[in-house]
Amino acid sequence: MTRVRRSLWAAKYLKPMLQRITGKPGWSVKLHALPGGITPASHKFMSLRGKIIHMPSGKIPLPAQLILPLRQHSGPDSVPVVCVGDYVYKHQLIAEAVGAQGVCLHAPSSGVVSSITFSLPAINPPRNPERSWQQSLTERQLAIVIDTDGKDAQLPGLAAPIITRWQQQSPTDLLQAVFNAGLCGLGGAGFPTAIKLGSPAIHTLIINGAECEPYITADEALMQEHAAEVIEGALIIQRICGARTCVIGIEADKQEAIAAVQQAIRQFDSSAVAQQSNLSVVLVPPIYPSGGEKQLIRIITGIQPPSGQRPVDVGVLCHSVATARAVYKAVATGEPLVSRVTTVTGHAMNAPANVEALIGTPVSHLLAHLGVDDTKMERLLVGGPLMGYLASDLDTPVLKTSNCLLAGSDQDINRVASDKAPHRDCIRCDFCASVCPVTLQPQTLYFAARHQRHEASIENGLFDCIECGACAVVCPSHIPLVDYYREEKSIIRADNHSGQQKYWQSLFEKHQQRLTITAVDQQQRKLDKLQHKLDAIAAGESLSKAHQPEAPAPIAAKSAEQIKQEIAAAVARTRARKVELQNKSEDNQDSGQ
Amino acid sequence: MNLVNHRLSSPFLKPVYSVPGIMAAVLLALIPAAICYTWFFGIGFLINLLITSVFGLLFEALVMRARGRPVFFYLGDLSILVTAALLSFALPPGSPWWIAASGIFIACIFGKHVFGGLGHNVFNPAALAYVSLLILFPLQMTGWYLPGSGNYAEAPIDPLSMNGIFTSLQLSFPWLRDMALTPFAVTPDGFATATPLIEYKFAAPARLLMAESDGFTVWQRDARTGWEMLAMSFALGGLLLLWRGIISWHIPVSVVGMVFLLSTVFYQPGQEAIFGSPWLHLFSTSTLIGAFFIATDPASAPSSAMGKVIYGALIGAAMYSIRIWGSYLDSVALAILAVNMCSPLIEQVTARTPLGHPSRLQRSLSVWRKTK
Amino acid sequence: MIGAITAVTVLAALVFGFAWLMSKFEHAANLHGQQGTAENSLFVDRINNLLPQTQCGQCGFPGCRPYAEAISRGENINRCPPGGMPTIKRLAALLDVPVVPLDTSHGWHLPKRVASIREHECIGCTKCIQACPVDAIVGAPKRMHSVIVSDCTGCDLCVEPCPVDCIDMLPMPLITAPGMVTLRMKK
Repeated sequence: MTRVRRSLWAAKYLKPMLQRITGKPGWSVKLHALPGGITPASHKFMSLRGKIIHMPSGKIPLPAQLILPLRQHSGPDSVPVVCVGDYVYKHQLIAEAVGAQGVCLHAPSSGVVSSITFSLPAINPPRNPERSWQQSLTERQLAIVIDTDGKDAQLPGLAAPIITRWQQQSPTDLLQAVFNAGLCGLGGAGFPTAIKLGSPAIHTLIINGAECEPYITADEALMQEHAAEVIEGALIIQRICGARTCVIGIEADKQEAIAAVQQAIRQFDSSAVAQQSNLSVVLVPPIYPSGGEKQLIRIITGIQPPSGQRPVDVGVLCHSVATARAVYKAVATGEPLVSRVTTVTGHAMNAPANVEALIGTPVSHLLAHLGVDDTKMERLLVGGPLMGYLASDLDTPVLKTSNCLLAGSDQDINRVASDKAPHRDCIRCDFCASVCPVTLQPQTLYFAARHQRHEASIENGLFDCIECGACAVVCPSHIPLVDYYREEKSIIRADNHSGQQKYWQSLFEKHQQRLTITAVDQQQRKLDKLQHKLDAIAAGESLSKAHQPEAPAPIAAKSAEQIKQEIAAAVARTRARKVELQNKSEDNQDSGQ
Repeated sequence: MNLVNHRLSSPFLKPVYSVPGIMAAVLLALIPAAICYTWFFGIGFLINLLITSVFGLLFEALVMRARGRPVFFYLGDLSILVTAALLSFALPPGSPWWIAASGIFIACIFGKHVFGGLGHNVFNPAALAYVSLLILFPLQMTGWYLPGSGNYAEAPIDPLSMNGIFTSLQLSFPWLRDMALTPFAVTPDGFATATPLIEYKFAAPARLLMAESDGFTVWQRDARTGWEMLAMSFALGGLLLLWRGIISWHIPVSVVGMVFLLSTVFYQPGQEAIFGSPWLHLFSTSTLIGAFFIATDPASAPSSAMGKVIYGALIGAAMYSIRIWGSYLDSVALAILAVNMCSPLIEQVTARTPLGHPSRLQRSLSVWRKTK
Repeated sequence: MIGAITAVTVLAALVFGFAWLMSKFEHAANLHGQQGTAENSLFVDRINNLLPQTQCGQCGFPGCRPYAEAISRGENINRCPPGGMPTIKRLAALLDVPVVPLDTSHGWHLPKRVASIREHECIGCTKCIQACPVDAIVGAPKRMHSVIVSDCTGCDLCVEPCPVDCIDMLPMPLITAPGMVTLRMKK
């Protein structure tokens, strides 16, 4: 049994304290404790052995096809501005942003648009609020497919104007440059960067270098090799948003990255910009969800945005180091977001590495050139083992948000299915509560979600859950807690009562009502007929003139009184039935409401 | 890449703990105490353990069968073995076999499955069974017929000698004596003794103090000193559980702290017989098994840290109060049952608010402002 | 001792008998545990909300609500093919009973489809209109009928009564959310 839970205090308090005592530079911020958290085996060394492999190179050539889904961010699909058969140059705009949360899309390499077709899920399915996660797994989205020609041709006039001296530019121009480059958060959620940057009244900027999830080293490698670009990107972001202080939070166990970033800061120290910027590096404890946006902000500033609000609402802006570098590229070199650093790792890989991959590269291409052991690979995850999602197909493209491709062997991945193996009952051991970084009561939430008590779920903070998975990892009953939360969230969001199901239900109820009303009408008609006959008898008319000659005996046997009684009985019967039917239809209406 | 029969969504990491693992850890932590118990009081404990385990598994299997659940999957959680072990520690080592059998029956059925099985129980099954037995069979439960309790016997029997073993067997299975299967003629009724607390409650001289005055140290094997060694071995097992992260420190610390505090406050050196010393309260009674193994049962305890501290302190206070001012004989199980009843309330009152939500105080303040 | 053994045996018989009865009426027990009243319409609503509302009658009951009522009385939860495993799981969670596989004697779990009338073949007999549980087919006697696609639950009930077999069940048209562009999937 690995000790995950109780030994955290050492990592949480002692290590940063020791480093503070040893007098490393950059300690200007007091740390705040993060509740909960786990320290799983990191497996990071695998992919950190070599340098970042750049993509159109000898090691990894250009793929024959680039698949560019129209939605790689959280927001509406971008709209294609090219047609099938068009030749596109490198860095050419191929899809325009739509609406406030839109993001542009650019061609990573030159070639011919071969089709605009349905592709695999484009965004982390659990984070897509419009669909439930089960649907998302089979969901297909529109994507532009480019057949590359290998020339990597770029029209000189096509490139965005390079802002050489960004210090003199107005924040609005810089923001426009960022928007035109098609930036969205590269950490995983894919929130459009330009919107975040445009938020008013930002006082603190936090650059997130706390890459806490196991296996992923993309940001760490980036900081080791491109620290200067990251720092300059951070300064640009600071100029755009107007934050007074800028803090770079790096996990304390990333010594090389810390050294590189501090080296880069020292180089910038001479310039006037850095003098004003209050740039500092903070070592954060290497606990699992410390790299979450709200978690990092809480550790560094102690600020906790109220439930339902984003950090920018309380004046704190948080961007990952990958986004900072993309901002630098967009502003200083005019290059739109067409590539990102992705970790390709897992025990099924022969040579795990960090790759600067073009957006849209099929995953199979990367795996093939880095050497994957197909027999060992159990599954392919996009993202880490705790927050990532399952690639349903090896032709899934690398997206703007894909920070890791985990070709997991038996060693990496939990093979137990949530549906097949029945989990044990909750024993209320509170392990989950002790690791929850949002101080939820996961077991209370589990009972609420399991019994679909929606109000109780919401009250207990279901929507504050960041789905970090720490609770499910420590649960001794192996309850797939996060699955329950996601399902409950999707049920509440989809709100069955106002959706298609409710509509069909109402149609069915109306149909039933109509049938009832028709039946009542028929009975009423029969009743009227009988009443008519009764009236006729009362008036002394003889009955059934047509039938009289054929069957005179029975009629003759019955007296007028008898016939009258029979008819009256039938009327009473029918009336009773009618009343009954009406009651029933009223009942139906009541229960329908 | 086979997508069938696999998890489809995160987290994909392997789980760290498992229920059988936790239960096995608790069983392992009880091993020192088991050795100690057998060493001092003979194999009566092992016989009880065997009976409770076998009958416990049997009852559990039958209930699971009747409830239409997979039998072996639920037997595999080992929780019934933990209950059986804890109950065996509570039973007198020389009690007849049917005491142990009916005890585990009560624990399994009325302690656990009546409420819906493991995790749904309101009371700790072992404590519930012990208290029920105490009420149902007071005579058998309070008399300890020990082969090694040589205080009254002219010639104390070594509990692990052949004679002692056969005495234990005869005590547990009375028909053995009728069938005359034992080579030794044993007269067990001469060795009636009682737990130190009963002794301490009714008899003026505290046996332990007397043993000490007789020149016994805790390292010598004697039924009187055995209690302290047993308590120490429970503490050792509890510390093992704490070290492995199976239990949290809140409940044991608050129980022990409360008992220590109260016994220190009320301790009067001249009146050991009425208000015992803190040492007596902690180490000569079943306080430590209660604090480390029974009160920490997660299903019947609150889950928040604050709630656990309150829960533990209440148990400690109840333990001491029942022991000193109550008229019942054994206080630990009663105290734990009593506070188990409060645990849902404690849970509700001390439930922590998620980050970013207004705290309980803020909420009540805002309500107060509105009404004003 | 004999008294104790007798008492334990009697108690055991009582308890196991009770447990067996409970397992037989576990749904009903849940129902009363959760509602506590004779009127169980609220509980039936909760079950009904989990059903897919296709009103297909494949479960053997005339619609989803009747099946929900039957479940509340102890009917098996695995008789709904359109709902499939997700529905069974949710029902199992609500009723606290084990998850069981779908009973395929009532049908297979298939993707949602919609009915489509080959309109030039329709003779206007109104039989499908009478069969439709949600009134999703419009038409008049001796006139062509047509399916309202957005109302159709894909229940198959109209296929069987059609005398000229002019109703097809087609795959659900793909609807993308933001632009509300409707595209028909082609094979």
